[in-house]
Amino acid sequence: MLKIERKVLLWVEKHMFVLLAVLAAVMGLYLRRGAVWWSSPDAGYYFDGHEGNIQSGCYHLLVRLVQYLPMLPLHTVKWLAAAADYAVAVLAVIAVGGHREGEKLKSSFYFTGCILSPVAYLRGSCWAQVDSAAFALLLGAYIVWGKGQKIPGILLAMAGIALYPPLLVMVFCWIFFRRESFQREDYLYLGILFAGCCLLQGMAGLLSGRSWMEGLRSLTGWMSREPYQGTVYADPLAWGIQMGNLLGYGAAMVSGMAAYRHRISYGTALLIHLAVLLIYGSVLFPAGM
Amino acid sequence: MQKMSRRTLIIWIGILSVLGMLLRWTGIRYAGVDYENSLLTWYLQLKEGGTLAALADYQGDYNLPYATVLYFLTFVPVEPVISIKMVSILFDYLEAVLVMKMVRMASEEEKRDLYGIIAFGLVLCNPLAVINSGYLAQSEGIWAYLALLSFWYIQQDKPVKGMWAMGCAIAMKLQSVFILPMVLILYFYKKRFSILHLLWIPIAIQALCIPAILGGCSFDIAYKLFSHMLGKYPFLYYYYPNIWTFFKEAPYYQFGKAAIIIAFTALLLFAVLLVQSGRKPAMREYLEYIVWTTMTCAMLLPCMHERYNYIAELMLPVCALFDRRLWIPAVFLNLFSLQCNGQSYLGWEKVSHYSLAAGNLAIYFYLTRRCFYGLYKSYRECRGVKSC
Repeated sequence: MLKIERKVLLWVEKHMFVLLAVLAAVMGLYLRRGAVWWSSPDAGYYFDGHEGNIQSGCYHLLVRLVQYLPMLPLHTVKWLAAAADYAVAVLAVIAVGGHREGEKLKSSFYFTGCILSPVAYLRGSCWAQVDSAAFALLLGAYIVWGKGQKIPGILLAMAGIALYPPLLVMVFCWIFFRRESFQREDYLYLGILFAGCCLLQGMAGLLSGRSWMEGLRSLTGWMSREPYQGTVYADPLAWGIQMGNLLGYGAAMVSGMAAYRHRISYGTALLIHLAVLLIYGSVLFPAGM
Repeated sequence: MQKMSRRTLIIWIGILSVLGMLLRWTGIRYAGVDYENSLLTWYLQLKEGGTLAALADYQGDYNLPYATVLYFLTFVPVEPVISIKMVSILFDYLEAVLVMKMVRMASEEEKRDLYGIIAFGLVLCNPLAVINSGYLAQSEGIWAYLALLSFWYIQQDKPVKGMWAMGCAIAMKLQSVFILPMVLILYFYKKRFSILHLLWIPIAIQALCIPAILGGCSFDIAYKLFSHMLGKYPFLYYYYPNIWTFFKEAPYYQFGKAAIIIAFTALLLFAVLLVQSGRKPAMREYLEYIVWTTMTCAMLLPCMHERYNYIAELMLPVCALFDRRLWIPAVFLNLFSLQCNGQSYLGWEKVSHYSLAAGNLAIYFYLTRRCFYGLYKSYRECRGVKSC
């Protein structure tokens, strides 16, 4: 082995974790750059009127606004999701305490997993869904709430839920499973959060040219109506798949965080990831496509 | 346990060798689809050409060094179905001997002979190996032997020989690059040979192409065929039941790259963990790492054929000699592949590829867990000790 080669190898070994994270970030960017040119079978629906009004009003506003940018509208949504994937990766590492000393190996692996997670890649850059953007806001809320900054936390969570109402389920879960950590005044903040969400959705409905109630309905409409036609689910399997679809990203990301903190095993987190992938795969690439 | 006498050792090897040949001989005249449509067609075309110039007109998609072997076989006064299979069978034996040597090195002194013989038998009489060479006339034994030989040499700090073996393996079949991650990990981990040694690989490939070049092929014929092969089957899923079985309809042009990056990342994480663990793996651990790295390629790369996980299928039962917990995964991995090969080539009753893929994935994740947890444990222990 040449001297210079050995030196290079030793340098790489010394900075291995940083290099791993950088390489993961670059590979993630490369993958996403290609994915924006692929359209999912339901891409046409994103810019329709959605008579059933199932999608969030804020999401509609966002999609309409990005059409004014000098970029293909679908690409803009996808790049927003891609940028949010990176934000989620960084915030998730912070949220699990991966930035602390002695966590280099675990946190660099975790960051790599977040960036290159097939769930994040499929859901955001391929499918143009904004779960990651909403989840990033919610993670931000979680972090600042943990630091005692309740109002910024509430505002961030409000923005996340307004963008992607199914994340409301995660907030409920968080309150339910961590209720011992809440003090009495915290419930006041949570009340403000839900009132704010209703206000935002109603206003977004009005801004989109619909009634206040129609806008408000989008906060919970995803639970019972098919997103594109607005028809009520009649088939339990179709409902189950759609719920897995809507909540899958959040479940996969939260399971990763829980595994990092040894609340669940890595195997369980991996199984959740695979199950979500299976649902995404069956929706995005139906047989005979 | 008593040490075996040399005579007993030879008798056992003789018995297993005869058994291996008998098993293969039962299917020696069987002409499978691939044999009829590809190997025999190429053989007859090369025979008709007569001279080395026939290699310039070779239309097959196996690489030129293998076509050169076929060309030389046309001079052997034996039926092609037998001569072609005999080459693969010969390499099955070489492979069994090589694995026996590896296992002997990995075993404790008193178990060395016994484990060596069992490993020899496990490789030689593995139903997949028997079907591959004896029935289907496939050449997995050739590239698998050369790939393992390359690892063997490199592990023993003989990089030039190792790279030549690697070059020969790649020249025979491109899928032998599955051993390359392990070699690169060794490069990084051991720091005993230079990256420049990798240059021997193209030299070896070129050397094996000399007959074809003399016959009129262009100088870069090997690489032309590689690039042709890489784009020939643009599918994520290509009959090997791996993770992409569940994403069959995903377009290759888009998701092929994602699959490659996922496989690369898995190997990269393993390499980082191995280097950081501060562990000095013993031969038995290396054998398990070979299984894991080759299986990672087969499970995560796109466009994998039924036979591409051959090394892992052969080596996992051998690893089970050292850890009984691996017997069940080894048996099931072989059963799944047997079924997969059987339904593709031997007309066996269909089993859903989803079931086979789920089974393979379960085995893969089990092996991943073993490798990663083992190394992570070492990493933590190492971190606790100042000298590390």
